[in-house]
Amino acid sequence: MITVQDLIYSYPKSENPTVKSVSFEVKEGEIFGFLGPSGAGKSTTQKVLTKLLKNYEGEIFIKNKNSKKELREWKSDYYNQIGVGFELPNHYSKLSALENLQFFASFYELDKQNLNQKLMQLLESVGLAKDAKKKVQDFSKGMKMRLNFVRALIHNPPILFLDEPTSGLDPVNGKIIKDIILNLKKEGKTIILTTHHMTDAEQLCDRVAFMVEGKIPLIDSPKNLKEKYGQRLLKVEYSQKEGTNRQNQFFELETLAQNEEFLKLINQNYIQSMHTQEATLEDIFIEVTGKKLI
Amino acid sequence: MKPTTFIYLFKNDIRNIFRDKTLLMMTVLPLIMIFGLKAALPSVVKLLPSFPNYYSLFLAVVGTVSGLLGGYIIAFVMLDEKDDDVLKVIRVMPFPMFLFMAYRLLLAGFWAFIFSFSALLIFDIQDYSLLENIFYALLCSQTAVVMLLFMVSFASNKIEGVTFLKGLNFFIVLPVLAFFVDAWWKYIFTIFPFYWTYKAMQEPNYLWILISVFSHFVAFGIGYYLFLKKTE
Repeated sequence: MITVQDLIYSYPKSENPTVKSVSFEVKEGEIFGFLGPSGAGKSTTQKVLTKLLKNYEGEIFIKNKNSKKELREWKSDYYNQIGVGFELPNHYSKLSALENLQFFASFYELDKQNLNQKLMQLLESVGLAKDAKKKVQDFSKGMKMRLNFVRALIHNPPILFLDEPTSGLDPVNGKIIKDIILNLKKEGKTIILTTHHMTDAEQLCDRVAFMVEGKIPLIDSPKNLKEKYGQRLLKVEYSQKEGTNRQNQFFELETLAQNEEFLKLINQNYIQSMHTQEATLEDIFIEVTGKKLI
Repeated sequence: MKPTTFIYLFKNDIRNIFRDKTLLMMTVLPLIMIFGLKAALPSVVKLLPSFPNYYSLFLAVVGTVSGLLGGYIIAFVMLDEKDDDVLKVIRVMPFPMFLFMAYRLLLAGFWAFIFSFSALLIFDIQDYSLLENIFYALLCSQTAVVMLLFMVSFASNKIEGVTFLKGLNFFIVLPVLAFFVDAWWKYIFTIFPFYWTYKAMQEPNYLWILISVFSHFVAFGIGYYLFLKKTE
């Protein structure tokens, strides 16, 4: 669906490139995440893909079309194919949520019949239906972010670019947005998202690209990464009696069923907890890049 | 791209203007200014008996300033868009940016023309035909379109826009000096495109008209280039 080869991007007047020769491929119908700390180049890469930034080096193919050579052919049609959710809220503050959506819907070739109903459904999906007629200037940041998100879905595009889609949201609304993203994937949409929340990346992404200082040192699925970088151990936390001092012991997963020491421990002690020692994406990120995610 | 998008753009702009007290006030400000000046005119003529010799220059300045006030309304709508960061969203819509800007500049030009034309009609102190009034109003309203571009390029928000507006109002009146002094430095004012509009109306001549149109065209090109650079 999207192929990027040796992408380099430098902001004007900047001495060093922000994106340094990155290459990756996004398959149709997958959720591909850029995971990295602020300033890593995730949003810049997304801005290049959404054509908000030009004058890049390297090649970008979207639906097998070269974005430089065939630029004229699908210049504005490209925007019928993609939906963009920005990192920060951007709406007409003096208009209501519904008026904002109606205005942006006017740019697309949409069936006018039932349009308002569809827009209201979108607002409903993120819990904003009751605030549809409220001016956006009276919205909280979280409400504006949810409006940002649904605006990207107005025209039901096959490709979605979402920049920090859960930023500024409380856990309940964050989950609503994540569930919608997973539903969109089920509908076959290709989703490219940036995040610095490893739990979002873990819950949403089929594959993640670790991005740090403009480079992508690693791309893989969260599952593979956890298997590859995790330890196949079981940590047992126990005490001799309930309420007494806790102790930990580790056991190899492969030989667990035959491990007499393990069987004896669980039979003779009070078990507080048992956890497999998978690495978190954050642990892996730190191990691979040497940087923290914040 | 749908032609109906322009209707929505217009509807959206009207909503944004009518929901902002400052902008709403700016729609009537030129009329207050025009009627106020008209009421004061007889007193000015009493004080300065030679003033009627400069009626055309006076109309040129009032026409240009009235037009500018019309242009400012659209400039402030655009500065609101900058504040709200919605231009970025419009850039990812299937609608070419140059069409969006063309719509905005035409709207500003139209609004400026209405105010300039109204000023010329309301004062009615020169024996201009309707066609002449239309023509001179068009000359005066050019400045509004150019200044809108400079304003939205240099000002990042409405507060900076107001500062720009104050400075610009001073510069708009400044070239009038060139008609009253006979010193070398009066030629400095020739760099201002609106100076040539004043000259074309005070000393009617096809050459001054051509220079006025051409200099505004050049300034428009520079303004548009700056706007594109700033929005990228």
